[in-house]
Amino acid sequence: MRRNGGSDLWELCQDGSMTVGAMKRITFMVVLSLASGTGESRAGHEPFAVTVEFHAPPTCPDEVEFKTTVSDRLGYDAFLANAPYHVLVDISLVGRTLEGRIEWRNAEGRWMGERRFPSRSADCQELVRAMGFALALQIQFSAATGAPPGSDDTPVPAEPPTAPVSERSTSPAPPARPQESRAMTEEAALTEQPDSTRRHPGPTLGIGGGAHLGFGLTSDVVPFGRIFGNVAWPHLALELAGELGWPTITRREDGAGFSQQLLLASVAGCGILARGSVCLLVKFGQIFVSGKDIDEPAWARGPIFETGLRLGWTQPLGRHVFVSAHGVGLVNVTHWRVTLDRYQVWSSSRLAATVGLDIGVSWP
Amino acid sequence: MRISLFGLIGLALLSASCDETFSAGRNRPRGLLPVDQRNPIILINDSAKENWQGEYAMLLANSGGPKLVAIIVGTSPPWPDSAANIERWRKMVKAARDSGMRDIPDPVTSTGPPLVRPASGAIDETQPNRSEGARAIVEESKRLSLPYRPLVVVVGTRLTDVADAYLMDETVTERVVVVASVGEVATSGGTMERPNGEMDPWADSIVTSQFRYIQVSARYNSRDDVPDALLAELPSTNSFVDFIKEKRPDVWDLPQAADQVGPAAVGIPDFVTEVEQVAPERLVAAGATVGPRLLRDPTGKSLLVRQISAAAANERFRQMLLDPRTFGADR
Repeated sequence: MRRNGGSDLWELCQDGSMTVGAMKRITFMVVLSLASGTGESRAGHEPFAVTVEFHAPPTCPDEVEFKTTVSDRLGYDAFLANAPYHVLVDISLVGRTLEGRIEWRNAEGRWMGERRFPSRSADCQELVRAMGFALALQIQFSAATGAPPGSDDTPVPAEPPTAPVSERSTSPAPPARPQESRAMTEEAALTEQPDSTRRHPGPTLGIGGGAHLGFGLTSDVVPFGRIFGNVAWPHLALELAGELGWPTITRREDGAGFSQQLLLASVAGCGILARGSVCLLVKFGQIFVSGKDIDEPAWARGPIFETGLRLGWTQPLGRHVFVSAHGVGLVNVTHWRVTLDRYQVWSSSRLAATVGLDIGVSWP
Repeated sequence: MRISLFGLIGLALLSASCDETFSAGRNRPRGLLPVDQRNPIILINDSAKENWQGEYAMLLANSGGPKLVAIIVGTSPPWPDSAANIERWRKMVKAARDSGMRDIPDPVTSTGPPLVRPASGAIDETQPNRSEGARAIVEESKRLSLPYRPLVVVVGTRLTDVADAYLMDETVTERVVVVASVGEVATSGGTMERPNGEMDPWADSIVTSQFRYIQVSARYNSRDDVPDALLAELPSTNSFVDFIKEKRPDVWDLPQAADQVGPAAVGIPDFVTEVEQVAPERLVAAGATVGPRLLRDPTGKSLLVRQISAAAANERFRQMLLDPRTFGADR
């Protein structure tokens, strides 16, 4: 029962989203722990302390703020330079979201365990607060129970302290005191409630639209509109898109001319690193050509095939919305030319490029 | 190894590349000839006295017709006085400009005798005149000719300057179409004799064998362009109209002198009513007094205008003279 309650607590922290329900549960458990007197050093014992190594993107709160969060929860400064346990706090961007990790090592530097905190958004303030909260809780319970930090037992919140830390790790857990047992029951009942905010790490889905300018695709700089859908993993993404170019009109010296318009579909496979992405892109579709201001205008269409590389940069706007900028270098595999009066008046270039902006939503 | 793999993929993509050609349409000729009022023209003649060639060209240029880019004035056996010839043309140009017509170029004197057939009979061994007219054809064709809209050289005299242009620059044939009032219609095609064909037979041979050539051998009486009834209608305050009134008595009533059939064939869509493909019989021999015969040939690259509509020309001439917009009234 206690084990389950502790796991749920970890899952709450792992969510990183800190819903109101999760906050209430964690607060409840901390209050419970503080009430049981485990937060402070016990009489005759040194306060439980750790060293911390903190890594986070520049947009996140810094190490001082993180430590303050933990200390405020504990009621004392648990960070000492010569502490026997080492905690590595690492926050990184994965695609458009953040992921946090707390790793424990003992005095010899041996790995003792770790917890991950995937977040559904790019709100680092929230994630740091959740991780600080979780670390404080873990320290509190390790101090109280003597269980080695980082192990599966450590997050169990209501285990009463019965022995020095060094001994307790191998001792069987004594029965809980009545008051704590009741509190644990309430906590467990709380944490066993279904939580719609829980999720498993998996691909995110996204849809959106955008616009870009094409160079070398027709006789002039041509604006395109596009819609897309994608599925993204932490470091990979697959995108399908459709795009329609604005018709461009090219005229020769006597005023006769032609318009051409591109309708394309594209498939992109992308590698993602933080907010940046590199995609291998394949476009295929149709070009439509029609004569303008000429005695006998003709209409024609034909297949177009292009391939190239796309560089992108994505900026989250809140939990689900994102914008991205991208530039594409293309090779026109299909080479096409347009004639008027049987004389060539235009031919496609071998290379083309686009620059553009997208906006989209992703979930979960 | 990885680079090689990408290289192979790239090579495969490139080798799979394909070419597509899309036709967006074409323009129709506005008449039976492959050139029309959208082609720029150069005018070549000797005197401006006996017909309305210059007047047609200037009026058409100001009525939506062919842009007149140069006037080249030479000499011929009937009109050997270069100074007198250029003076008449200058007078016409001044009257046109004073009337309000625009884009009328100054006439240019071109000096050069008929070309001499070399003993070998090889065109390339012909001694060129390098005349002013030939240079103008070469330069203006480089400046104005387009693949789909070549420059038209409208000739109402000997073809010497046109052939001379070829001797100076062989590529001029890619940029120029020649429309000449030359010779007569025959049962088997056309002749290159009087009028104009007899003046330089070797130039006739060079032009018909090297250029895209259209010979207008159907004509009408030039006096029909300005009948008495029209004189009464014409405004009296127009300098160009005054010039025409003054010139009218000197215009020949001999249809063979009607060199205006050249600009009319280009600028008036319904003027040409019958045309056939022809080819020159052969290069003329030494001592020839007329140009080569043009024989009917469905594969021939030259065209012979066999019939025209004099009424279409008369009516268009009248309209242009009576339309104030010809003289810039709408500007």
